[in-house]
Formats: sequence, C-alpha cells, structure tokens
Amino acid sequence: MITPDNFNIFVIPFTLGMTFVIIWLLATIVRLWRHMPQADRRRVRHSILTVSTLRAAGEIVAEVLIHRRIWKRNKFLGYMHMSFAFGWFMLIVVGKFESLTYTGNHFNPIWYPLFFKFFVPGEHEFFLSAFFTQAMDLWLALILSGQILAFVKRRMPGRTIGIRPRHTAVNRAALTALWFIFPLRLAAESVTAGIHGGGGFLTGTIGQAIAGAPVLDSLFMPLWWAYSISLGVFFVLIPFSRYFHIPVEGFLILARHWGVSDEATIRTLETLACSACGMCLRVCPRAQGDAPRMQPVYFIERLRAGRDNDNDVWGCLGCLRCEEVCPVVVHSTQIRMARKMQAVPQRRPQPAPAPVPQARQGVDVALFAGCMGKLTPGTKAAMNRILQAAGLAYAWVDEDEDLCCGRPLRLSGRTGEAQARMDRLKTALLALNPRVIVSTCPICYNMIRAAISARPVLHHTDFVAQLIDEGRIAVGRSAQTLTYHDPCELSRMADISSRPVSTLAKVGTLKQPDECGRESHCCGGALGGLAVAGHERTRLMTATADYLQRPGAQTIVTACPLCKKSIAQHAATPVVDFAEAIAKSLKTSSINQ
Amino acid sequence: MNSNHNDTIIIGTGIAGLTAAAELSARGRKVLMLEKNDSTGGHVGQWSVCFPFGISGRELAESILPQSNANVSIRTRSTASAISTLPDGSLSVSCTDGTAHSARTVLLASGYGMFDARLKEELGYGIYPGVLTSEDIERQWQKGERPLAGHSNPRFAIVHCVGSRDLKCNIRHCSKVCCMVGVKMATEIRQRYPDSQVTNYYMDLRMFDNGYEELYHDAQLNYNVQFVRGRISEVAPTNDGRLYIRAEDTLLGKPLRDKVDALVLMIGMSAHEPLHVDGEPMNRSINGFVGTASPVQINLTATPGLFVAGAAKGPMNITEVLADARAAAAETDKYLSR
Repeated sequence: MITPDNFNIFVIPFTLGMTFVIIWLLATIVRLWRHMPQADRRRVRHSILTVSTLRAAGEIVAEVLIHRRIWKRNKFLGYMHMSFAFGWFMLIVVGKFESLTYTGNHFNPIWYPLFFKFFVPGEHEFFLSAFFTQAMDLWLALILSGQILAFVKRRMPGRTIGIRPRHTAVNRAALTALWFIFPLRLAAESVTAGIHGGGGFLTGTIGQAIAGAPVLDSLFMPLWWAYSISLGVFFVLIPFSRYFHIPVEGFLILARHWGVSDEATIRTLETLACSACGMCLRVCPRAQGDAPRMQPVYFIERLRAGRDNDNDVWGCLGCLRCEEVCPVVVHSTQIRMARKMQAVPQRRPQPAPAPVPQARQGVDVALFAGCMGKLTPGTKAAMNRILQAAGLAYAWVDEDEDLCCGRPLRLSGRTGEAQARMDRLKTALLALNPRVIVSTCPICYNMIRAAISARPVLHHTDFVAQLIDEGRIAVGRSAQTLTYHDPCELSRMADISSRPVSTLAKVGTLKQPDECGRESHCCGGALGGLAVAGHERTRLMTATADYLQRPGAQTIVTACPLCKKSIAQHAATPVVDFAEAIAKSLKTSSINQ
Repeated sequence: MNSNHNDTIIIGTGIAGLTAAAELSARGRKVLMLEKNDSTGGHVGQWSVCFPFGISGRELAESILPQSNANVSIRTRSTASAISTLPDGSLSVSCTDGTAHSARTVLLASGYGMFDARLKEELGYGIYPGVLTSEDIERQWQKGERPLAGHSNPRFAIVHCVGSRDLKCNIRHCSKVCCMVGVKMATEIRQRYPDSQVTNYYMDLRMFDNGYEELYHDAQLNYNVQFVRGRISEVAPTNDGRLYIRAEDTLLGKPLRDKVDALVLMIGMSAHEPLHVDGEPMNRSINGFVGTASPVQINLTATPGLFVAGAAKGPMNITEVLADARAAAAETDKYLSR
C-alpha cells in the first residue's frame, strides 16, 4: 500500500531510473536467450539446479563484489572497486532487512529501503535498530573511502594505476552522476539527523555538529531530491555506459559455469561485462606509442556504441597480455576476430592435394617448420643435430613442399581458407604415420594441436626437454648466461613457460627480466595487427629488445621464429632459438654417428 | 697528451679521411688521424677490384696520401668514443684507450658498417658454408685465395639488396653501390672461373653513374651473366653439399628453383652507432647515418667545428666520397682561417 508514510514525490526520479534499468537488463537477457542455440539452452536448463550454479555464485561474490582479480594485480584499484561494489551491495541488503524489520512487511515499495531515513527519521527502537543504523553508516563510509581513492586516482594516475583510461561522454556523465550519489546520501541523512536526531557514527555525528543551524530545514527536501535525481540519472545511463557491467558480469559468470558454448552469446556478454577499468592499458605494448588508441577498454567502448573502426579491429598484434590481466577475462582478441570475419568475404575452398611422402612412412618424429621456420634455418639445423644425437628417425614434412598451418589467413579473417590449409597439412603430417608431431613454431603448434588429436603434438621446447629427461640426449652446463624470452603463443596461449626455462638452466645460468613467463613482453612481430605501421612495429621491437638486454645476459634465447627475427634485428646481444642453445651444449658422446 | 698543435683531427682513415688529410696538409694544416684498425685504407683498401674500371682497392687507397707527410700523423688502434666542446671553442676527442686529443676542428670520416648478413637468416649465412658475402669474396680474392677451387662448372647465385631497401630488416635506404658491385662481381667470377654460370637476383638495377650501364650490358653480352628480377626466399642444403634455392621470377610471374655451389650476398651499408657529442648522441639523418646541420650544408654538423665527410653520411660510391672529402677539407680550411 502506498501511503504518505512510505511515499513522497521526490522518489519518482529514482524509481523511474531503477525500473528502466531493470526492464533494459531483462530485455537484454531475454534477447540473448532467444538467440542462443538449442543445445546451449538445454545445457543451461540442466545446469541451473546443479553445483555449478553454486560455484558461479561463489565467483560472483569473489569477482563482482570483492574484485579478487583486481586485488591481485593492484591493491589500490582492488580496494576502490571493492568499496563501491561491496559497500553498495551491503547498503542494499542491510537496508532491505532494516526496512523489513521495522515494518514487518516483505513487500515494501522499491524505494522505501533506500530513503528509509527520510520516512523514518530520528531514533526508533526496533529489533537490532542500533546495529542497522551503525551498519548502514559503515557501508556508506566504505563507499566514500573508495570514492576518495577514485578522486586521487583521477588526479594522480601515474602514482596509482599507471595509465588512466579516457572515457566517452556518456561514461563521463554516468561517472559524474555516480560520484554525486553517495556524498548526497551522506548530506541528506546528516541533515535529517541534524533536524530529527538519530543516525550512526557518521551521519549522526555530522547531524549533531550541524544541529540547530538555521539552514537545515531549507536544505532538507532539496538534498533528498538531489539524491533521488542522481540515482535516477545514473540508472538511466547504465545501459549506455560501462556501468552496465555491474549487472551483466554476474550473467557472464553464470553462462560460463553453465557451459554456454555459443561464441556469439559469450562475446556479447563479455562486451557488456567489460568494466573499462583500464588494466589492459598498462600492459598493452601499443599504449606507449602515439598511434590511435585500440586497447580493449577503448575498442569495446566503441564496439558497444557501434562505432568501432579499422584500427580497433586490425591494429592489435594479438599478444594477449591484456587478456592475461583482464579482471573480467574478456577475450577481446576473439571479439576482434569476429569483427574481422565480418569484414572479409568468407569462403571455404577445397584443400589442395597433400604431398605424398616418398617411402618414408613410419618415422618417429614428423617435424613442421612452417613458413617462419624457413626464414630461420639455424633452428632447423639445430633440430637435425639434436634428433641425430637422439638416434630418432625423423622427417620434415615441409622439406620440399609449401605447407601452411593457416594462421596468417585466420588472423586476416579468412577462416575458411585457413581451414583448407590446415586440412592439407593434417593429411600430410598423418601420411608420415609418425609417433609424435613436433613443430618448431609455436604459432603452427597451436594450430596443429587444435586440429590433430590422433597423435601427440608437441612444441620443440617440450619435445627436446623430454629427450633430455628420458636420457636420449645429454647436455653439458657451461658458464654462459642466458635470458629466455617467452613467446606469446607459447606462454600465454599454450601455457608453456616454466619447462623451457628449467631446461635452459641445464646448459647455462638464466637471467630473467622482471616480466617474463605469462607476463612476457610482445616482440612486436606478432602476426595479428595488419594495420600496425612499420615504424610502430620498430618501436615495439626496439623496446622489447632493450628490455630483454637489461638483465645483461650473453645470449637471448627464444622459442619462436617470429620473436627471434624481431628481437635479433634490434638487439646487440645475439639471439638464438631454444634448439640452437641446446644443440650447442650437446655432449659429443651422446651423438650417435 | 698535449696535441694542441693539431689544426684538425680526422676520425677514420678510409678514402674519405685520407683524401681530406691530403687536401688539408697541402693547405699547410696539421692533421691528426685516428684509426680504430691496425692499418689505414678502410673498406676500399680491402676490395680486390673497384668498379667500373677495375682499379685495385688497396692501390687506390695507398695512392691518396703520400707515405711521408710532415703535416699528418696517424694513430692506429685508436677508437674515438666521444667528442666534447672545450671552453675555448676547440674540440676534444676521447678514445676508448683513455687518451684524449684536441684540435680546433674535427672531421668525422668514420664511414659505415657492413650489414650483418646473419640477420637475414633465411639466406643461410653462417649456417651453410657455401653462402658468402661480397665482403668475404673481395677479401679472399685480395689475399689471393680461390674459393670453390675444386668445383667444375661452378654455379653462382648473386643476391642483390641484402640489408638494403628491406623493411623486414627495418632498413629503407638504398646502399647505392651494390647493384654495380653485383654486376662487377658477376663478370669477375666469369673471368676467374671460365666454366662457371652466374645468375644475379635483383629487385631493380640502379645503374646511375658513368660506365655502369655499359658494364651491365657487357656482363650480359660478353660474359653471359643471367639476370633474374626477384628475391631469393629460401635456401636449404642439398645432400651433395650444394645449395638449393627458391625464388620468384617476378617478370615471368613464376616460382623458380635452382641448385648452386655458392650464394654471394651483396650486403648493404649500415650506419655506425652515433658518437656522443657533448654528452648527447649525434643528430642522425632519416636513414640513421650522421646528419648535417642543414640539407645544403653538406659537410657541417650541428656542432661548430665538427665536420663530416664521406659515407658516414650515408651510402656513396668512391668518386662521390672523393669529391665530398675534398669539399669537407675546403670547409674545414675555411673555418680554420676565420
């Protein structure tokens, strides 16, 4: 029942805004649901009442409220996000129970808990009333402390988060509304306490301090109006701004836990769940240059507005550093990939006939160098030495033939044509009937292992490490110092980073830079980014080459032909492939002649 | 070491430095020359034969500056590391061996470096023994060695533009002389190995100076040298110790495969790391070589008293270097007379 005890005309802006955002959110979810394939819908229906929902709930608390992943990266930013999300959530929950306890009514109007202090000013004794009053002040204080940090962050981005994202007009408007909400609530509740008494340690104390001031009565209604309006404005702006991530991220987490596999659904949810926190800015190698901005935070902001441009789609190298740090785990590289596929005509040609192996069926190892491998014959020669030392029968499948894993075509959006290339390569590899397939290029390795399950597929770093572990080859340790550069395709994409390092430690002393492993820098030669200008690539390559030379090792080792080429052009220190470093340290006694 | 009696210090004793020293000493100037290597003559001093008229590189270098010249003293094994301006406006050159030398002017004639062919790993330099650079061959010939002596009917492939005009190496500039060196080397090979076959792989041939076009025609008509427009994309060893090459003939629009005994890479000129002047790295031009004060002040750098001559400014052929060094000497002399 709506009565003067629980309604005042000033609640209308908030109520309209709140209703609007709820309807918008429901419409978004219903639209996604209707576009989802049958199989996924079935999966969701079967998963709702399982433990996966509980797991999702746990992750929602950890990520949406506490922001665990942000905490791990940056405590300052973690506290700021947590204070807003968790503080506001607790205000809503505790406020709900406060109003419920006071009225005994489960169905208070939607605005009632929010403006409780307006409708029930002063001190009232009811069950746990003192607790509720203090708790509500505590959550408000938590949010306000976060807001102070947010203000400091905007003033001094360099000392807090590195680079601050620059947001679009609608995001700035939403932010302004958001920043008004909690100080206005503090002011409204404090003035109310000043007039009627009551209030907790925060609003009550301020209320006492200002009690008796003549202006209080004339401030009372305007402040409650302003509080309601700021809430209303913020809610209306939510669907059009980055703050839509607040309600959507929960749905994204649920969809992932329920096993939704439809790429379009997940991509849409990820796009909407990006909070534009800007963590990707600090790690993106292109953020330092003068090139137009294309980092996920900007790309997704424009994509939502339907205004993403060529630079957004083609200007990313695909090194995946942004995805490594993204607190929402937005797969922006795949979102870009989908945009590329929309940009180029899709066709699926028949694969050309694969080469027929010449009487060398049944090799132990089928090797694939790939196109970049042909540009680094040193790696190939080193692998030949290692395999001869191990006494294994091997064949390079692309010795005389041009075979391609398809990745360059895939990265230019031509996935059908890429698939035709891969089909041809797959036929050629399996025709050798090898026991194991090894690629010296991590890019090809990722493509082949996704396509072939009939045989073990290894990157040569793993394969060589295995030969050493099994005692098939022996290496000697020398006084040399090495710096290992983790290729993005190997560390971040295939999660191979510790084994190459521990293997190299058997032939020399490693001097690793601070950011290595899954955090390694982009060599600048990555295959994505067809729109990255030459001078920009040079800048990236030089920066990474400089970074890798900082530890001062005698040799830089990497495990990707692209990284090798990119770094070698810009480093005074010699750059060798993993296989070359191992081949150089082979104990001669182990070479079977 | 007190060497204030010098009017000018010339860094580098290649043909640019030697020419400038000869000019300045003829005008009565006292010159100190600093050379990082054991002997003078620079790159040209190590060439066996210079195009297009077949002069020996060493004889050319030795003919520039008479052996005993009272006005010129030469310090070999002295690598200049930095230049600084002294309070009286003269310049001091410090060397890596700890010595410092001062004079009113310094002439930078430090030339160029050769492109490190190992950076074009796909061409197999340093991996397959049959792959040589133009520099390797010139030196071997000058020493009287004869590579591939045991082969009958040896096949040679000459690759132009290795480390020039190649964005994959981040090098945009044309090294100017390699087109002609490639043609000269092809005819030279045909003369030294009469039963040989030579194919040049080029992007385009820039036969810009006197006598170049004539030698190019001579190579085709009288020495039967083949020219293919296209780059070699891949080199692999064959079982019989030769080299298997793949390229594209871009005039026919067809891929091409061949087996050769030797692959000769026409490596380009690359810029040295910039010297530090008054604590800052020197200005560089767009191609990374030493920059001049303005496009028309072709020998003066941004630092008063510091001049530059020859291929330190970018690729030049011998006649251009000789002219430029004389101009730089004239500029230096004018500055000293002020």
